[in-house]
Amino acid sequence: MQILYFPGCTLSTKAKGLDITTREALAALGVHLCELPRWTCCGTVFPLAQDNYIQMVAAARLLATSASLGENRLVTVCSFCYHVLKRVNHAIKNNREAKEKINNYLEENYSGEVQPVHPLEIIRNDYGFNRLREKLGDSLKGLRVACYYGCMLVRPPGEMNFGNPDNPTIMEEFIAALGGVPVDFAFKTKCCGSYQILNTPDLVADRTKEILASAAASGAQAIITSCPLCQFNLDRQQEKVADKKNFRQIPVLYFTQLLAAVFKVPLDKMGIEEHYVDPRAVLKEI
Amino acid sequence: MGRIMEALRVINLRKGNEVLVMENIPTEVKVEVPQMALTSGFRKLSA
Repeated sequence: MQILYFPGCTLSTKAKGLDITTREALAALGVHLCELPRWTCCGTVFPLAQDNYIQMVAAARLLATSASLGENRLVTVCSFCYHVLKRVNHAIKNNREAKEKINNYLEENYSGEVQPVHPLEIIRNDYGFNRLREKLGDSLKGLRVACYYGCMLVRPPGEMNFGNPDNPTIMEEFIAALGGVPVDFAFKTKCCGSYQILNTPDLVADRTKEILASAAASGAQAIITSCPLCQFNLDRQQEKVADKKNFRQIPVLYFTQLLAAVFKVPLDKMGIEEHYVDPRAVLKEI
Repeated sequence: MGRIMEALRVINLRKGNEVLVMENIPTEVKVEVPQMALTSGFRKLSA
């Protein structure tokens, strides 16, 4: 099966591990990702102001390009990209003014016919978690994993449709299918602070401390995420508290890195050199 | 609530009141953060 793929800008630089392992892991499942030609940054954020359609143009162009290639699905793994593509697509489908103005600017006739999809949705809906369990059900050997969604995958629920916004379960089902133990913790959809790392780092420090402490208290051996900025915040903040008493470091992995490890992708090809908390001890056990 | 907060932020930015000023971001942060942080930060917090 071949599906059109939009990696996004961060996956070409600071999150190469997420890009490489997404491609390798899905290929091992028979899903071959074909990169969208001439793609650009999605814009990273969705504007809520009613007079700000220009900030939707970048994402709309990606979707229109996909439609022009005859595709009805566009896979993206970065939580920010997924969020923006889904919300822009929803706006074009449901807001006549947005559709008209954006199409006039792009000189396109896009109507929202392309569906942005996440690799977890591909694995669940196209491959099947039961099939994953039959093929790889002992792979994680009971590894205790905290599944961190952050805010961008699940909210607003009416547009993202990624499960219960307070208690999504698709990552937990994925981990369980691979023979891991998903641990329940209270802050799995709490925002890590995101781009506030730039101007309010103390806010990010407070947020990530709560998330990490909650995951640790639940017995997590690793945290998985789908967002390069969440990974950065949760991972790098551990450097600031490394000397604190009773603090246990937890590696923060992309979920695709776990799946790639299951398929024995070499560790030096997973982009783990970008991680502050070394995940090799966890990945070598798989 | 999100729309209200966005409205207040946009009103503030359109008055020229920047929250995120590039020169004030520490160099080591600019070098290390994923660029999605810079793009989103500037879009939401810079005039």
